[in-house]
Amino acid sequence: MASISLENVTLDYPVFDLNDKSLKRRLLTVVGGQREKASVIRALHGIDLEIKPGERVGLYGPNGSGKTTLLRTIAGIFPISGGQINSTGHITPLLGLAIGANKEISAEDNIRLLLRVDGIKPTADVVDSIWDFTELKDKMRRLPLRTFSSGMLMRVLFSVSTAFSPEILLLDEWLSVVDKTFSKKAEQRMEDLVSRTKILVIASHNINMLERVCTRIVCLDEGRIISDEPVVAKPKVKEPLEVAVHDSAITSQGLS
Amino acid sequence: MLSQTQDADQSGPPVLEGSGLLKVEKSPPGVVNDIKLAFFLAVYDVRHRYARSIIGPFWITLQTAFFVGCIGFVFSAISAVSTRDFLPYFAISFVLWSFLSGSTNNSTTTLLDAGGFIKDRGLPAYVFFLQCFFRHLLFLAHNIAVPILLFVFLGGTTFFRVIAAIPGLVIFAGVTLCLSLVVGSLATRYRDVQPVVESLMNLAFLASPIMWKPDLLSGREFLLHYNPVVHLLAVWRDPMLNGVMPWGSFAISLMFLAVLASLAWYALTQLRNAPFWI
Repeated sequence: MASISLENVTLDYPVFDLNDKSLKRRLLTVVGGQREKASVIRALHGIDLEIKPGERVGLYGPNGSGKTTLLRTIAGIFPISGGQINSTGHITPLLGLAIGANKEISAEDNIRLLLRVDGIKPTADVVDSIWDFTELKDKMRRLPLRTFSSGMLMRVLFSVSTAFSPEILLLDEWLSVVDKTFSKKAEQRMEDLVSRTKILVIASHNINMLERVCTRIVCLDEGRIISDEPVVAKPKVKEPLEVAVHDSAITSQGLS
Repeated sequence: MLSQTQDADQSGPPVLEGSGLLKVEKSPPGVVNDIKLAFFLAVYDVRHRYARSIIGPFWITLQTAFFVGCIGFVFSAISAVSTRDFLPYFAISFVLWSFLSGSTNNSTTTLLDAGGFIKDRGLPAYVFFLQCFFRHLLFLAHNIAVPILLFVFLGGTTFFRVIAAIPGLVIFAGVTLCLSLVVGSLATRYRDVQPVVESLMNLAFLASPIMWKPDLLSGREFLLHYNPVVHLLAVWRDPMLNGVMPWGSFAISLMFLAVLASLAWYALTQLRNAPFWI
């Protein structure tokens, strides 16, 4: 079982400017008897969100609407200021692909490092199969990442990050590789990854992608949910029935 | 407010995508896993810093040996004690002080470097203070070769005296860990703390008997009594070098550790706000 439930969640994001970051200044205001309060931005207003196993939720909204903040809140990274969050299942936020990669060390060691961060023991078999997926030459395994072109670097990072399906996956934008020869394979891998996770929450600007991937789309604006609707299969193909069947097939796959 | 319960019926080990069934060991999330991760990250730091040299991390040892040798000769002359007597004393004091000050100074920037891990991958912030502590513990493990060699060739302690120093060393390491947590958290929240910490560490190094022997201050002993670093050094150095247990220093050091530990506990509770600071 995996589920996420947010009840009336508010999040105040403290904005520290230069003065707020100074202990000297802080002490002086306390001694002087003044009370200066760091400015706070309310980033999420009374969010109610119930996500059941098998759901794939897309968060849609303009810049600064609170998509990433909501993801971080669900992941328990940001402490909330009000309301309640209850979640079952292990949540894996994957909000940046290049996080933790060290360009000075070899590709192989980077793979090990990133696996460790996910709590996975980097056995030789696992590292080998991840490396095989990148389709890069074997002699590059031991070269430091900084000698890789940006396309090659993306292949390596993508291969590690998508190697295992977590129970609950939080994504900031769909992961893809621009590389032409690789992108098809990468797309397939993402489909596999998503179909095996019990819950997916993905934030994006790209409504077409969200409608394709998700079963439900939540629109955010200025930290509020303005709409929350299931995705209806679009009759873009001639036989709309078949599309609907296909969509529910994915859903039940996610449930299993 | 935020509760996360682990599933009772896990759906088996995670499967590598598109590779059939590959056995994977996934450690359950929790404190033990965090400590293991911190240690792993620290080992990587040390290994990769010296990746392209033949003697590898033993460059650290060589650097320390060179420094201890030069300063040892100069300062034994200044304080008019025999070099043979002074070198092991200075070597052991210096490598342990480097451990404490290195870990503390490093902790002031460690969270800023790990920002992505904390904000985008959801790793708890304290992992990176542990990483910093373990990294300096590994440096210490390399540096300790210098005083050990000096003790073997010049004498100055016995096996049993070294054993007697262990409780003191544990207190010293505890203080280092708690101090790193407290100072690191404060310096991440308030950015003007870092240079203050650095200069205080330098001051403590010069004002405490590390490069000089305590008896040099005869007549002005109060300079030693009110310096907590003196007691933190005494709890392991007195049993190791002089074969005496300084009970007074133990009491003061334990009190110091208790205060630091409660501050560290408070810092840990505040660290949930760390994603806002970085």
